[in-house]
Formats: sequence, structure tokens, C-alpha cells
Amino acid sequence: MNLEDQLSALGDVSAPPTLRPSTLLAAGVADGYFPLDTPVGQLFVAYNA
Amino acid sequence: MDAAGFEALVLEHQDGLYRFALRLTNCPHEAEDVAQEAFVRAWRWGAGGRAYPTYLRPWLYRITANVARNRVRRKQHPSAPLDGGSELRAGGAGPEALAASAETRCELAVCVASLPLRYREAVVLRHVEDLSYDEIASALGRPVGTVKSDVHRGLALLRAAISKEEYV
Repeated sequence: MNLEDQLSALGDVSAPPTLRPSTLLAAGVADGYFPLDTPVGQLFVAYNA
Repeated sequence: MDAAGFEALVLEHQDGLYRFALRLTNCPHEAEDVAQEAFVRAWRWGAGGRAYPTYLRPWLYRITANVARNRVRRKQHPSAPLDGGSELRAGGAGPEALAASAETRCELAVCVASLPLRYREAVVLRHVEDLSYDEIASALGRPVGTVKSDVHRGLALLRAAISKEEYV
């Protein structure tokens, strides 16, 4: 395999699954949630960047 | 561009921008941060009412390169330049450690990461991301002739480094 082909093989990498949601959250176009234990049970609190 | 359009843009380009950032920073966590920041900058550009460039792909790579350059320079990543007869090293690994991983893709990635940033950007965009010379020129803000020269020089440095490692 020549060098150019070996370099092309370096392209066999995908973005981590966390990139899309973290990007959307950072851009402020998606909400994030975190669980919060309360007297009436667990609530999910939404937040936005 | 609305939120749905932005999400579609992220889905379409996230692998490419992440790979490019990974080869520039040689660090997965840093690459994810760089790609994220590049997307957010792109979103803010459009959110400011400005039109997106016709050639979106090279523009996104350009943003990514700018973000990565700032981080690489700020953090002084351990990448020794390959030109000028300098020794190849990555992260303090000695010749023995590098020789042990010869002929692996990992070694090639280390060699790529050790290229001077100027050549690394050009080689990765041409031979990893498969951009045309025109697209690379647009992405890096350099004339096409300069880009061809940078790719040629980068490949020569890589060949020299690999050849050197094979004889260690």
C-alpha cells in the first residue's frame, strides 16, 4: 500500500456519538436535562446553553 | 438556517471535521472540542443574519483549522517539526518506542501529527479528507499553487520520516 492509500485509511474514523448532542447544546439549539430528586419524585430539569 | 438545518449540517459534516481536528491536535478529546467549537462558530455566523458561503464544506474546514491552530499554539502540543533534519518524536516517545510500532496505522498517525502544522493541514485535507486542491485553497486561505507545494512537501517529509523509522 502506498503512502497516499495509507493516509486515506486514516479517514476511517467517525465522530464520537457525544459530538452532535454536545454541539447542539453548546449552540443553544437543544435543551439539556439533568435529574433532580425532589419530595414528589425525580424531576428532569431542562437547561439551555 | 434553523435548528433542524443546523442539526442536519452537524450530522453531515461531523465525521469530517472531527477527523481533521483529530489529525491536527492528535488528541481525541481536543478534537471533539475543536469540532464542537467550529460548529458553534458556524451556527453563530448564520444566527447573526449573515449568509452562509456557497461552498460550505471548505468553509467549515477553514473554521476548524482556525480553532485548531489557536489551540495547538496555545497548548504547545508535543509535535516536533520534521523539516530541518529534526528528530521525529511524539509525546516524548523515543525512537525505540516508535520503531516498535512501525508499519502500523498508529505510527503513520504519529508521523502525520509530527508534521509542521502548515503541511499537516494540507496533507490531511488532500489525502485523508479527499478535498480538491481548490477546496483546500479555500479552506486554508492559500493559493492553489502553494497548497500543491505544501502537500508535496508534506508527503516528502512523511516519506522521509517513515523511511527513517524503518531503519532504526
